[in-house]
Amino acid sequence: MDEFDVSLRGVTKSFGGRRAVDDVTLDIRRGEFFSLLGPSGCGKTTLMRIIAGFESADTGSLTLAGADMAGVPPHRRDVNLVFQNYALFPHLSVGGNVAFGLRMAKAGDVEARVRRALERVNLAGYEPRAVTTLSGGEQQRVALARAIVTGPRVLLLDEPLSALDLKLRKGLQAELRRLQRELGMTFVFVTHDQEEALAMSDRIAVLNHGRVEQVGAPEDVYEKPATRFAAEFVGAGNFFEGRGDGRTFRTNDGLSFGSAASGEAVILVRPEKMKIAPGAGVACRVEEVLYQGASRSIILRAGDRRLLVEDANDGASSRVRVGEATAVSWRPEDGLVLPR
Amino acid sequence: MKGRFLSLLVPPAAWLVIFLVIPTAVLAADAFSADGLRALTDPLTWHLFARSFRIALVSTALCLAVSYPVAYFIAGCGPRWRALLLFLVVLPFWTNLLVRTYALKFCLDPLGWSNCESAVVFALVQSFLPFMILPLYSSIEKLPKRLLEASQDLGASPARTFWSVTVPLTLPGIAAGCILVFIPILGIFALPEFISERTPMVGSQINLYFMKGSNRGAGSALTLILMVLTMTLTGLYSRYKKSEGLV
Repeated sequence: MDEFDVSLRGVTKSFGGRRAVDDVTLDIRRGEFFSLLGPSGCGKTTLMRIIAGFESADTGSLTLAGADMAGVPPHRRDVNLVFQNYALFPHLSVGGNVAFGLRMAKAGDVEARVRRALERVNLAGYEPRAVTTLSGGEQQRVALARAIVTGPRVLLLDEPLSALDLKLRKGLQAELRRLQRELGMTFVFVTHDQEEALAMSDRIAVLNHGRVEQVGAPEDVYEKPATRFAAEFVGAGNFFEGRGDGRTFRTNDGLSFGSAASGEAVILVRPEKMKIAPGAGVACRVEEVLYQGASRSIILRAGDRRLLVEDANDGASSRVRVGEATAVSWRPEDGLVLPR
Repeated sequence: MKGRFLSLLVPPAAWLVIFLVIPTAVLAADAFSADGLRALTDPLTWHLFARSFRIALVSTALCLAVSYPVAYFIAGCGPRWRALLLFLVVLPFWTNLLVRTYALKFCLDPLGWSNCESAVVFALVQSFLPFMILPLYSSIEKLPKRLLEASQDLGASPARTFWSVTVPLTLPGIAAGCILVFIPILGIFALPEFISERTPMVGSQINLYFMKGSNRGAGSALTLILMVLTMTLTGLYSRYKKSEGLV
């Protein structure tokens, strides 16, 4: 009947006159990996706390699996939260932490379910350990096991990977994605890391100043950003402000290139879409080359501005040298016209 | 160098020998005198110990029951209110205990509530409240709020969160408060007699033996028992603290 697990309708929440969440409407599908992406202070954490029940919306409504959540306290919501700093109970063992939700629900078969949950997060046999002796990554897994063991309809994850080092984070990203697929559970993932959101999500909501800038699949958000903010926040880009006549686009700082845009517009070209080759295109000079293994970041100077080009290390591209005069070009359809 | 360092130890060592070791030795010798041993077989002794234990236990429990909500409330206030409320908690210390107890007696007498054990318990609870509130407060104040949220998120009602998370995590404060209240009450004298002469406690009897009855042996025996009890309790408490990793 109702395919949405989480539905927010016109949700607004203010703290001391400041709107943390401003008229947010979102539908999160059952079994979806959904990310709330935005810079700190964009309202993503508040939104998550509203879904969990720790904050109540000033106006608007929230339904979970079709049921209105107005006045329903956190402990009666079929939603579990993985806290940013894990919030494990220091007075309980690993097993005690994982069993907590089951004990509260007076569920049967506690021992076996705890064991299975710990196996799922690759911590088999950790039950008797003290949580204070675990590493950050292990604590993260315990928090995850504790949240999934009761089989909630929706799992909220508040920047769960932000305290871990890069390598561990990459590993856990894949693990989280696998876990979500296996459990078929709806995951709402809060993050400020756009790469993480792109890599893991089925859909992303880009938030800024408490408002939803865009909702869409990672490809859509990256390839067809709905707003300037979404374009700037997700991925890197070169932005050109100026006027087009339908064939040629002239930027305010005097560059020109082919584009179908007409009238005042902002055009975005992603760094990996730009090709450097002497000849046709925008004349420029190589300012810096940053070798990054799989690719090179090349910073070009064209007139008064800098351009960022991402050059894949596929052996095909010619080497460029710092100081060299060359030209940069791209297909007109790779110049994304942003709404102003 | 070493000799100099050791010479620094002379004053404290002398202090301990003169004011602790010698008196305790004298006390122990007196306790094992004929008078002292006779006091051990006196039913009155054990009757008084039983009453002291009962009063200390009930007073500590009541103190805890009253103090926990108070400490919880103070810990939940903003910094300015906290400072004010904590000041009010310790305000009674500005007045002498005997004066406070007299004042309390003048309040209780017209109500016809004196000369009984419950009045003694009431007087003890009200005068020992700060010793319970302060350690509880410092323990509750340190409790991370997100642990309470995590508990509720996992399906625990506020009441179950209190019993399964708040109480276990504030156990160090509870233990400290109980020790600070129970031990002094066990050996207390003067205050109970003001309120009720009919229900003497061990402390009053020791006072009686030494000051009025000139029965040093019996007084010493009772004192020694009290000391052993007190040291056992503090020993258990410090062992608990060690197991919790608090020391």
